[in-house]
Order: sequence, then structure tokens, then C-alpha cells
Amino acid sequence: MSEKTEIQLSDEDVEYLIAMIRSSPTALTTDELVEALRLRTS
Amino acid sequence: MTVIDTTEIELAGSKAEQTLARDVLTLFLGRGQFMAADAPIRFKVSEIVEYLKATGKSGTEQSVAKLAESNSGVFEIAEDDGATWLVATRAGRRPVDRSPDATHSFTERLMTPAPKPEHATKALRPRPRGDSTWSTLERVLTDFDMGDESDRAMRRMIEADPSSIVSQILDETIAAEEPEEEAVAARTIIVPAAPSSTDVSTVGDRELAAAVRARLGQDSRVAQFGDQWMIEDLVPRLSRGDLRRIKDYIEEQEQPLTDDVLVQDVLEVRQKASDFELMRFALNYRLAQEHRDFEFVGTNNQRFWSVSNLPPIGTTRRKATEIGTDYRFLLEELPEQPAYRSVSQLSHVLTFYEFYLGLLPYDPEMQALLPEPLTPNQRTAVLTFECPQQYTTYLVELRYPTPNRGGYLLGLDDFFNENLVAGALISIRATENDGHYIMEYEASAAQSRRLLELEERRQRYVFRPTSFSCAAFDEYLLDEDTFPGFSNDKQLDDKARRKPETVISRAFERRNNGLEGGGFGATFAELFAASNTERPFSEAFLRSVLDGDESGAFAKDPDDADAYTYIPGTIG
Repeated sequence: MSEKTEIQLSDEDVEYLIAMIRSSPTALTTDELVEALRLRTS
Repeated sequence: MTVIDTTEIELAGSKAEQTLARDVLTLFLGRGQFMAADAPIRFKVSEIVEYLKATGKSGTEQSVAKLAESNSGVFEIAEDDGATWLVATRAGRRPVDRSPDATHSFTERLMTPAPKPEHATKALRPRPRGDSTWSTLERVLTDFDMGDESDRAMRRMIEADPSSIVSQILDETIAAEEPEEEAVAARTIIVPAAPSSTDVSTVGDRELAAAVRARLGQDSRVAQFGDQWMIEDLVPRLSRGDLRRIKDYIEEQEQPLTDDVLVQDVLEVRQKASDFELMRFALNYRLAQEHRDFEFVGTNNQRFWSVSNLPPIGTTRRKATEIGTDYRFLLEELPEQPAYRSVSQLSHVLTFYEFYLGLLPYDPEMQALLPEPLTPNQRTAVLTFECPQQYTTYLVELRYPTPNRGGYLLGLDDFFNENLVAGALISIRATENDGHYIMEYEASAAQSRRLLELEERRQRYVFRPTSFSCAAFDEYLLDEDTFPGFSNDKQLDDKARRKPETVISRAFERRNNGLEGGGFGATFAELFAASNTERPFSEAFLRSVLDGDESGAFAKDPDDADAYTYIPGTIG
């Protein structure tokens, strides 16, 4: 990804990420959360 | 046990018959004295007659049968096994039938299967459990209802027209309430994708990561350490005792320790234990909240923790704040948008200042090699520099730049003194671990030169014979032949040292290359080597001072491609 676009996540995005983090027994990295957001909208 | 008195029992018949009945009853009480009061006591009529004869009393089978008839409330006649029996109880009452009620026994309940239910019982909902092997994102995503192709198709349809799906769900709900429905099979309910979920397909990874950090970083439900995230409530807590033992252990070892070591040695969690990674995160997250006692001094891959009263890493010849001030000029050379870890290797020519203090500058090249601070306001990072030629690994402290001090790396005194000279070329190579680096120098045939040293006690420069076996650039070597002006010269005081022009003018004089028309001349390399004895200069900084001099003291030498001249008396 080389594009640069300002972005703000919605409350639903945050809840989705928190559900992701909660469902994992170990800590998740930011890269993993970014990947999860991409998979969600793909 | 209650003793029954036969005289209390009322018996019918004549006096002789009553006496006979009482004798017979005494016989019954004798046999049943240890029996329950209402338990039946049985005698054959023939046995009773025999007893009466044996005890000198008169009685026949007829008389016995008669007394039983007349005292039917006390005796009972029974026929069994071809014999006539007289039955009574210790309480003097006719026995009652005590056969147990077997219509609802425990045995029967166990042995008789329950009838098959008419309707299938509802399937038990499985209890949700965390899978211990659930450690990769791929695994998490697989279980996170990404669905199969049909699900995705369904979701696309939902996203396209949410109202149709709402009506579909309503229809299903109404159908579910109808009594004649038989379906009990599990059903997957697809929640419509939130219409306000953000389309991130056109956003770069870096921007998306920044947005994730910005939002989650403000959410109190989430615990963050470095680049990792976890639900705050699920992060194990450390007791006061744990914190004290961690602090004591670091002090005992007299050096910063990594989270791996602390979790294993202090918290006693084995590296192969399933909760090891969880405890590592917990240790890092919890210690980061204990600002008074602990300081994070690590990188993402090598998470060192320090306490306040550890012995310092590196030189004690000059204060850390003074070194930072010396390197202040580097602040202007660092890029506004640092590209951390963007290069894998760098080469560096060691200056006298660096050699004497055992340090390296945090210049743009070094910044591009090393990692960024992992935590906000992180001031230092402890790195490991491995020197395969010496089979030694050094703990090196990286001091990040502050708004008014430059950055540098400390702790290489021993390596420099034992192997190198000022002017030597070293290379530093990154590894996959962002806290570990390989440092090498080019070995050469042993040579001996009279090289510059600073006599610490007298604060004077001297030349001493020095043997070394590393490759070095001749133009950067501070030997007596090239720089005779250093011999026995006193080090500049701090006030003079703070002025770059003063230091450079002294470098010209110490080079001592007098020009015919007066003044001194020197190549840029010679000036760079000689100026870096008093304070650090980068090549860019040195050239900017030489080229930007407005006093006219310094000028480019027209006869040499990269040389300068200096006319004394013009620098204040």
C-alpha cells in the first residue's frame, strides 16, 4: 500500500477491533489488527 | 428393649384357658425377646403341645387351637408346609402383614428405562472456551465468522439491500413463533454488516495503523504496550511482592534485564509454558505503569527494563548531558520524518572524540539503522552489539535525541581501546532482532605509529607509540608527523570548545602546515580528524562552519580541490 489517505475509524470499527482483541488469548499486534480491518472489508 | 409383662395382656376364656394362654404366650416371648415388638413369632402347634407336656402342664392341639380362636386379637392360626402354626408378637397383638411396598422401589427406578420423550430434547449450547493454540491471526480470523463463500455472498447481498434482509429476518421470526414448527436444527444468523464500517481499501498500511493506534490508545478497555494490544481486564496483575522481587533482581544483576529473563527467573514461568507470552505482555504492561521504580530501556524485540540506581553504561570521562550538548548540531541533520530501520548496514570512520569516550553519534545514518523508541517519552534503549571477531557482546546504551541535545550510543570503550584507533573503519549490521547488531572492523597487518592520546590527568595531548591491526584511513590517523602541533598541547577549556570556529582554528594550528604568505592550510580530512579531538563534528557540520564563515578567517584553498586555509587573528 503506497497511497496516503487520512482516515478515522468509526465506533463500529473500534468495537470490531475490541472484539478481535478479546477473542485472542494473547496480545495482538497493530499489524494484525490492520490486516483484520482489511479482511473485513474485502 | 421393652420387657413385656404377660399379665398386662388381656386374655379371653375360662380361668384355666387364660392360664394356658398365658403359658403359651410366655413361650412366645421367650423366643422373641430380642425381636421387634410387632415381628411375628411362630411356633408349630405340635411344638407348643410338646412344650406344655415337658413343663408339666396340660394341653392338647385342640385346646391350643381353641385358645387361639378365643384370643384372636393375640394369636393367629396359620397353615404352612403341611403344619399348623400359631403366630403371635412380643407386644401381645396379632401380627399384621408387613410385606414391603415394592410398587415404587429405588431398584425399579434404576432398572426401568424412562420412556422415550415425544419431542427431541433441545441441544445443549457448547460453553465457549479459549483455545490455547489460538495464537495466530489467521486462526483468530478463521473462527471470527469470516464465513465461507456462501456467507460472504449473503453478506454482500445484505450490504447491498439491508431492508430486504430485515424483512427476511422478520419473516423468519414470525415463522419461528408458529406452534406447528418442528425444526429444532441449529441455524446460523448472519448479522448485517454495520453500514458505518469504514472502507479501508484505499488507505495505506501506515495510515491505517496510525488510525488504529489513535482510537484504541484512547480506549480504557484496551491495554497497550508498544505495538501490542490486549483487553485490560484480561492482563494478569503483578503483586507488590512481584514488583519488589523484580526490582531486587535487576539491582542484583547490576544491569538492565529483558522481559524474557524476568518472567523466567522472577515470575518462574517457563519459556515453553502456554501462558509465557501472556505473562511477558503482563510484565511489560504492568511495569510501564510503575514509573517511579522501573524504566523501559528496550526495543520491540529485546525488551530491557532498568531501575533508577543501576551503574551507568559507558564512559564516566564526560557527563551525559555534556555529550548531548556536544552533539546538539545533529538535531539539524536528522530528517523530519525518520525512516527507522530502513537500512541494514552502515560504515563509520572512528574519530578521536568517539574513540576517547567509547561512543558513536546518532546521526541520520545511525537513525536509519536503529529502531524508533517503543514507548512514549522513552529516553534510552539498551542494545546488544556483538563483535564476532572478539567473541564478545557489548551492552550499548542508545540515548535518543531530546529537543536540545543530540543523540549518541555509549558503552564501546573496551571494544575501541582493545581493537581500534581513531581513523579506523567499522561497520555495523542490523539483524532480525531490532535490539541486536553485529559490529565488525577490517583487520590488517600489524603496524606501529606514534598516535595521539589525551593524558587525562594533565589534560594534555601527547604522542605515544601505538601498535594496531585494524584498517585505518591515513588522512584520519592522528600521528605525530602530520599533526605536530598537538604535542604537549593543552586541551581547550569548555568555553573555547563550545565555539566551533575556535576549535577549527586550533585544528589548523595543530596541523601546523604554514603557508608562504602567512596562515595555515589543511585538507578537509585533516581538519575533520583534528577538530574531532575537542568536540564532535560531522562532515556536514564542519563544512557548513568552514563555508559559512563570515569573518574571512577560513577560505577554500584555490590550489587544492578539497582544502581550506586559515588566517589567524580574525577569530575572537
